[in-house]
Amino acid sequence: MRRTPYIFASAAALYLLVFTAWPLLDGIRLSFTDTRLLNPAAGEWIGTDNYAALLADPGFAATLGVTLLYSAATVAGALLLGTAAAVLLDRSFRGRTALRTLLTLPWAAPTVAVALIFVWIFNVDDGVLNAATGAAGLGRHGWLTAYALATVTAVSVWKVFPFVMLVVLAALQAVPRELLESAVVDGAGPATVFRRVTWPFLVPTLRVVALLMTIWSFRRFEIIWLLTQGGPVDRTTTLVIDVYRTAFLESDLGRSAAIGTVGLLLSALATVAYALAERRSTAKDLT
Amino acid sequence: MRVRFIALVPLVLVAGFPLYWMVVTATRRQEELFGGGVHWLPDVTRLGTAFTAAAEGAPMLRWLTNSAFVAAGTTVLSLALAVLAAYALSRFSFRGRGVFGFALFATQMLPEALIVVPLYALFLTLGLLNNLWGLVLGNTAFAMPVAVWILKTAMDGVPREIEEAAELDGCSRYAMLRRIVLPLITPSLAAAAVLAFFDSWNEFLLANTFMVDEEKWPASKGLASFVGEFVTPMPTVMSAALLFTLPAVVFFLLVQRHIVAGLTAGAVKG
Amino acid sequence: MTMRRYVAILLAVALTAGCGGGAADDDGGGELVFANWQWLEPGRGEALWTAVNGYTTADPAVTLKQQAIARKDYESTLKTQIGARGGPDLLIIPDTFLPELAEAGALEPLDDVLDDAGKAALNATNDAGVLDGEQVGYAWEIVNYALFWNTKVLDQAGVQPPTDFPGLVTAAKTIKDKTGNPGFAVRHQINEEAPWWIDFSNWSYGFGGAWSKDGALTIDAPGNVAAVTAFRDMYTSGAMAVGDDASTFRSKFKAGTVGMMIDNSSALATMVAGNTVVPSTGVGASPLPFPAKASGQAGFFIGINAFSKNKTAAKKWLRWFYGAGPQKQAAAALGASVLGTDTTPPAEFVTANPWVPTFQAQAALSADAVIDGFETETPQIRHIVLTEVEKVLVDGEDPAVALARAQEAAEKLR
Repeated sequence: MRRTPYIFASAAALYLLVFTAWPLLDGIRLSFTDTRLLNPAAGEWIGTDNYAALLADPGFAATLGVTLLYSAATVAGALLLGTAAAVLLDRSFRGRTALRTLLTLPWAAPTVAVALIFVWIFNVDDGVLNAATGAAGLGRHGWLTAYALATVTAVSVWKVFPFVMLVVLAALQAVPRELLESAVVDGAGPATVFRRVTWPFLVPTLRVVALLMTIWSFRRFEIIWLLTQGGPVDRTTTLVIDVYRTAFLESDLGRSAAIGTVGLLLSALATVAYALAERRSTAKDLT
Repeated sequence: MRVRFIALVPLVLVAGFPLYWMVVTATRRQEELFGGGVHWLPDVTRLGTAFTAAAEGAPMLRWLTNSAFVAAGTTVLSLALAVLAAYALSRFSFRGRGVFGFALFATQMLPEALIVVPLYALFLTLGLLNNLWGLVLGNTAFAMPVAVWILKTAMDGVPREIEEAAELDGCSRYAMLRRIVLPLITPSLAAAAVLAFFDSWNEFLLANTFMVDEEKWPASKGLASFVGEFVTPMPTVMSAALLFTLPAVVFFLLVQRHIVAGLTAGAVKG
Repeated sequence: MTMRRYVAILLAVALTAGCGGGAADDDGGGELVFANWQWLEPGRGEALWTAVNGYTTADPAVTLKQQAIARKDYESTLKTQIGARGGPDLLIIPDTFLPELAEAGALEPLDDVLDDAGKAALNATNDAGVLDGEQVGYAWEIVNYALFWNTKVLDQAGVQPPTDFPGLVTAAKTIKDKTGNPGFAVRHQINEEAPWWIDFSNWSYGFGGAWSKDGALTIDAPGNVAAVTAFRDMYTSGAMAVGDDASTFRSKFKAGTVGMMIDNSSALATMVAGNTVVPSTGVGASPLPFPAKASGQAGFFIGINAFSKNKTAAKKWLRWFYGAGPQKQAAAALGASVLGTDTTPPAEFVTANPWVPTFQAQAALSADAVIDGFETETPQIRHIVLTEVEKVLVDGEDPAVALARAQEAAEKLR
């Protein structure tokens, strides 16, 4: 029965080979060429010129900065909000199901629809947000112009925090009730119970979620593209937006592929960092 | 208990408001939306009118059907591939297992934008451009690995003893997977299905690049096309957005119970 | 299910998919795919399609099919498709996009498509479709720009139509103060880069600027600095619809909540068609209130994809389209635009839309937004310049410094 596992795995493996690995390798190959979108066959091998140009470009450094800032803020926001919501929901009380359902709506709503309504909410002259802040004496603001990165981050957190909430909620249900009860019997307050009993159970889950959130943030395209297309003045241009702009607006496939490859490396780095953290914490648990 | 509510209610308001605002905007007349005077409540009497306008003004229903096809196709294809792959990863140790597992995970790191151009060329060769099956195949690249991850951890939780007993009864591996393992991990299957469905229902980048004919667009691209050069009435856009949102939300409400249970199996040991 | 069955399914999927492509052989018949963002324009899109599709009665062997692409995504979508050697058979090409397509060899030469009678009917607008001595596009429409306003809003605010730039800003501010609504709207964001560039050339040309002279870039010329300064003054006046993209502020104008705009005649036609809140007769128009009489224009050309498998039929369609009958119908659908032949819209159209002559008169004074001598580099230079303009608007940078930086960066392209 040696062939059995291969038979089971082969369909997925074949699929990955054709629809992921091949395009990926082709993409990496492109990053060493001067290929243009309108005539891809005419691209010539130029070695690491694209990468050298990226390193020399202050605009690219800014893009990296925006990517890291956006990802860090989105991950932190989503983890905080998602965990807080999950902890608050992890008791049975009246209306719990309704609240949980309402809180997961952002995740269920399609991104394009979400982007459209947010653009309208943020409209400077007729948007509801400015109507509210104006009435409250907080003034009217260009949410997508003056504070573009913060606004885009806030919308992203709004969209993804329910995923964190659901996963953490699931993890919380695995915390043994006896442990919680005995802690309460021992006279521990809610904060102590959370820190001593619940938290250790959550950490492994949170770590996985944090990694996924980080990688997904590096990759996120729709929300940013539909809200700002990377503007104003590249303030919300993350790597993926830059990849798309460079390829499809500036027609420079070679450079675009190089930016994409850097993005890939960034995700790989995050994964390695995660693996190291995992190993260290396992070591700590053992000692 | 009161503390819980005080903390949760503002969060719920923020989470729900944009969708509420979609309803308000969809049911107001265009003239009521501009000029600064904000109407805070929906005009429920116009709900029917709004939806009719959205359904008639553009091929929205057609686009929704296309989205449903792509989402359903992606869900079925990625689950079928993922069940087999997850079983292999969970039950066997074989040469190449590590590489295979890593390759699955690595797809999560891929920026779609990086592979969209090579994928375009590939699809052109295969005749998959401007073809809903092409979107199914493209979306599966991103949905399937997540499904494998969820299903594998769930399968890890199924005791091997059950299968060993079945093996003695002469069950084949495949029969064991279908008759014994799958029924035990139904919640995780549901969770994986929902993730795949949402991913492909929402997908925009591949749809925007690959689909040419207006009648073959999925709703994500169709909706984004409203944000264009010329004027489209805001209430119509928002009604269309609502039409696009509702199926996803309803589907989610139907299966949400399973998701938490399904992710439990995946997340705890993940 | 076994592995074999999966492979079978995947193969079946790939095979049936391949059938959908519609194999066209180049015999002058079959299906012609026609790309244009204007198919999406409410009202006008249908009228244009009727004009274009009239061919199928003359030649039943051919069917025409729309490829509608949102304006924002138009160039990028076509580049992807043509780059992969696919794409539509016929396409409408913005003038700023034409050189890039031609240089990549993506456009079929059209010199011998029209017969002598057809060529004789063509007007001078078609000269811009000649690149490197070859006709690669014929004029579909040339669209002119003007200042126009909602008469009711101006009356309400008690302002007269402005005749110079300070007057424009003052009028916009008064409208904002009196009505609470934006006094002025125009494109101003890099996420609408291609159309914003065309819109912005109105300001550059209107303040005596130009992007190049005698084969050298003149991005930092005084006229351009004056234009960017004026644009910034308008942007920061508090009276402009800041943050709105074209479809949003046009919707607002349509709803009667924007005072004045600088935009093209096609946009205005779409906004007032069938509009009871802002009827066509309730709109006034004048040449741009800028020091120089020059204005910008958008030229749109028809080309044939060099990689089309159906070029014979596409050429036959083109020959038909430049005949008198189809041109007349197209003129009725295009409204206030200038066509590739001297065909004018019906008299009743002009009567019903009193602003039409103002736009038509601009034809003699307007120039396109393609940079002379830097035709293929125009998209890249455009990106550099508009990014710097956006820095002036958003970061409050000095216009002269920003344009000097743009000049330096653009010169490095060569």
